[in-house]
Amino acid sequence: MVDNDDKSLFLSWLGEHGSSVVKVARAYTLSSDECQDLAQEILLQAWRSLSNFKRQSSAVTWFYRVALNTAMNWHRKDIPRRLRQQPLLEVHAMPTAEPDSAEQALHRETIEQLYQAIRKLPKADAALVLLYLDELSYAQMSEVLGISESNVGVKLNRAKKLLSELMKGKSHGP
Amino acid sequence: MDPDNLQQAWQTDKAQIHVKIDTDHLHDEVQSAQRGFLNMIFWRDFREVAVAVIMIPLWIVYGTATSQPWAWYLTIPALIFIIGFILIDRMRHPQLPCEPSEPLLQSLRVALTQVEHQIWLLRNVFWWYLLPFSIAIIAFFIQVSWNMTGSIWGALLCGLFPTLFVLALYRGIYLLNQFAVRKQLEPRRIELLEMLASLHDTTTDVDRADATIDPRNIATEPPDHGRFNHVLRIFFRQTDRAIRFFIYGSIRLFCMTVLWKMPEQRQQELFASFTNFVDELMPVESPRETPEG
Repeated sequence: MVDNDDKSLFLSWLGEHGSSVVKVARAYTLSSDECQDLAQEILLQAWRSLSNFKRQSSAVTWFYRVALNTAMNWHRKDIPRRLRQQPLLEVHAMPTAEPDSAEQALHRETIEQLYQAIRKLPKADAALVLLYLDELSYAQMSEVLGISESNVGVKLNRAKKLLSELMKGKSHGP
Repeated sequence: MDPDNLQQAWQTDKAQIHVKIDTDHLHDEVQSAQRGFLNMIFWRDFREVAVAVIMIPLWIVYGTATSQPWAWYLTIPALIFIIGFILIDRMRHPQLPCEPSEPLLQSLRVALTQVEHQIWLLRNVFWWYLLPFSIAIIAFFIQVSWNMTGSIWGALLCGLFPTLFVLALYRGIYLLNQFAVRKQLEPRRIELLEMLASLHDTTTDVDRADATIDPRNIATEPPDHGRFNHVLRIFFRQTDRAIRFFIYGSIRLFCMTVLWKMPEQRQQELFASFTNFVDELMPVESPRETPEG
């Protein structure tokens, strides 16, 4: 049974960081339909394993464990969830104060290139990069991945270098 | 672009996304998914074990009602052996999904163990599934032939064709299982090994299982168990040649008799696609050296 405190903690965390669900799903899928499927699967898995949430770990590391494990075991050939159930989440882009400018267009393009580069990384490196982009500490990354902090440092440096090369290739590309 | 700038851009983008989650619906879906999973496990066990359990009394009733020879009842120990094997295997290696809140490295190790066990099961399907049934069925054919002809040669001759048919059928089942290993399980195993290798600790000399993994050295062939397997391999290679010859002939005959109105080029294309599928199902094995010792 899910404890009410855990449930409310999870919901309040989702309220603040719900976009992480979408971001992880988008990084591991190619189309928006697949992204929706994976995001729903991550939510379901998170809710299901809420009873195993120990307060020794923070909500963010627990959530990332669930999200990354689900994303890595998710198969594109699975029966599309969107065909058999109502959507569990709605994603809205918040309107910005400034009018649509060239800077914003450039920002959107950078983000799109970033997703494309992450998809090209090996899955474990992609996981590290996602944790880095979400500003998790080395200790939190180590808790999510189950590897030592020093190993996180080594792997993350390698992954960042690879990411930079991929981004450079994109920006110089056609 | 500098990774720190990317991090900043990512955070800005994150702040612009708002997600609304229907929690009541989410709760209902989890309940429904849990029920679906338990149903799936139940029906899987029912299909594999309960059907065999139901078969035993039916086999006895039919055998006594139609006065079948004693070899008919050899199927019963075969069924019991298979049920026992499946049950013990389920108890020793429950194929339950890993708890999703485990650290990634731990989950990958669990998933790898499960995939490797599944590969082991399918690679050895001959020993725990096909062989017990084959012995029972072939013994039955030989006994019926003996009863009909009354001589060893008569029994062997009459029993030869049904025996060959059963062997070819079981060889087909075996090949389908190996096809599943090559197309689904091996790629997954290699993917998991690569992920484990990319997470292994390079900063310490701790001797862990995944620290020695090199995906380039991943064996995709079943391990060689010596001379007995070598003899089996030669036997199956010859059987495969015969089956392949028979299938190619049948496809050619089918093209010539059923598709004769089609242009010849289209017939050739169809023949090529059929034979490609057969080649994929039954890859031509290169001859190996005789094992030493």
